Amino acid sequence: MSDESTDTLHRLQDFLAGQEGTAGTRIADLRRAGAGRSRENWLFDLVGPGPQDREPLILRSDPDGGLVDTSRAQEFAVLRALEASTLPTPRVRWLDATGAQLGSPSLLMRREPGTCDYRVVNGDRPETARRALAESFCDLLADVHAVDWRGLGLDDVLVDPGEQAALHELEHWEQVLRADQLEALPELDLAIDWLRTRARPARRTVLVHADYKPGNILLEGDRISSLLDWELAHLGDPLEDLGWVTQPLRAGEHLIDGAWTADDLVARYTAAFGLEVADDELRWWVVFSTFKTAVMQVSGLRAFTEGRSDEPYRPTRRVLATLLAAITED
Amino acid sequence: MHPTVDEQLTGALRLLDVLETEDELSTGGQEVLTNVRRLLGKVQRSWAAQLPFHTTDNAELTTLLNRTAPLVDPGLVPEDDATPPLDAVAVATRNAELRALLSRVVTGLPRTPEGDAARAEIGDHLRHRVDTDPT
Repeated sequence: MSDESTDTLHRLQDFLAGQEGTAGTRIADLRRAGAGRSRENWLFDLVGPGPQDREPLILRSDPDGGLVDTSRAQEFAVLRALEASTLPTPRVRWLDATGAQLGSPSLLMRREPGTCDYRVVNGDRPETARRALAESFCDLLADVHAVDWRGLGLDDVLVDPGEQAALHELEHWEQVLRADQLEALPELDLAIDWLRTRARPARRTVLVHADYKPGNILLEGDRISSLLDWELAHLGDPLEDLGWVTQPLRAGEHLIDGAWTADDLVARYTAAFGLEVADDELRWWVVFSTFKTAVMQVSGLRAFTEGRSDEPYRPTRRVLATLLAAITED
Repeated sequence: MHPTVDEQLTGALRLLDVLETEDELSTGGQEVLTNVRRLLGKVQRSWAAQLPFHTTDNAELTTLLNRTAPLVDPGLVPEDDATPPLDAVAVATRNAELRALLSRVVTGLPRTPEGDAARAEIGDHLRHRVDTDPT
C-alpha cells in the first residue's frame, strides 16, 4: 500500500470511528478511483458488524487544484434533500465540511451499481439502442427539472435567483474568471459583453444539474441506476442544462449524427417537461455553456501553473473558436 | 548548432517512449507521462512560430487599437513600440500588454453603431488570431 493510501486509510478509520452506526465495522479494499477531473475519489467497502454486512462507499474529497471550486457541504445537503425525490441519486452518508479530519473537505456516499461511459451514446450498441439511451437521458433531465425543489427544502440550501438566473450565472462565472485568469483574455471579455446585453429573464426556476452528461450517469445494462456529480447543482433556468447538452462542443456526448439531433433532443424535452423552447433563448445558454467551459479551462491553467494540478489545461483553440464563431454570427 | 531545439525536444519525446515501455509504470505515472508528452509536443510544434506570430499580431493589434480605443478612452491607444524585434520574450510581453488594452476597449465600448462596428472588427481580429495562434 502506498504512503498516500496508508494516510487515507488512517484518516478514514479515525473519521468513521467518530460517526454513528460504525461500531464494529472495518474498511476493506481501499483504492483510488480513476482520475477525476475535479474531485479526488477513493473507493472502499465498509464491512461489518454482521458477517454479511458490506456497504460499498466512495470518498469524494476536494483536490488541491480542480476545474471548479465548489462546496462539499452544499453538495451533501443537495443529495440528502434529493433522497426524498424519485430521482436516481447516490445516498450520502457522512460529511467532513472543513476537512478537519479527512485532510480536505469531503463527503462519503454509497457507491451505486453500474458503469459510466461518457461516449455511450456513440458507443458500440446498435443505433436504435443508442437512441433509446439518449432519449432516456433526455427524459431524466426533464425529471431533474420537474423536481419540487421547494417541497424538498432545497431553497434552504440553494439561492433562488428568480428570473435573473442568466445574469446571476454570468456574474458567478465572470468572478471565477477574474480570480483565475493569468492574463488578459479579450476573447472572453467580448463574450461577456455579448452575454450581458442579451440575457433574458427565466420563465421558470428549476433545479439545474449544471454538468449533465453521460459521463455522470451510471448504467446497469441499459437502465439508469444513478445520476452523479451534483457539485455544481443550483436553482436556475432549465434552459441552462438544455444549452449545456446541445452545445456543439458536447455533441459527441449527447447527439447521434443523423439519428438524434439537437432539434430531436429539444423536441423530446419540450414534450416531457412542457416548456416551449425559443431558439434565441436557448442560443444564449449554448453560448454561455461554451463561455463556462473556457472559464473552467482558465481555472485549470492556473491550477497547473501553480503546481496544484498535473493536468495541463488551457483555453483551447476549439473552445475559443467555437465561442467567437457563436458571438460574431449576428 | 547541434543539438538544435527540435533535436532536443525530439530526443526528450524519444526518452519518454523508453519510459513508457516500463512494465512497472503505475496508472498515475502513465497519466503524468501523457501530460508531459502533450506539453513537449505543443512546444515542439509552436516554438519556432511564436516570434513571427507575436510580431504580426502586435502590428495588427496596434492598428486595431488605434481605430477602436478612441471610442472608449484615447489613453488606451498604444504608445509607439520600442520593443527589440528579435527579443522573443519582449515581443510576447508586448503582445500581452496590447491584449490587455484590447480587453479594456471591449469592456468600455459604447452601445452605438460605431461601438457595434468596433465590436465586429475586434471579433474578426480575435477569430483570425485564434485560427493562426501556433501555441
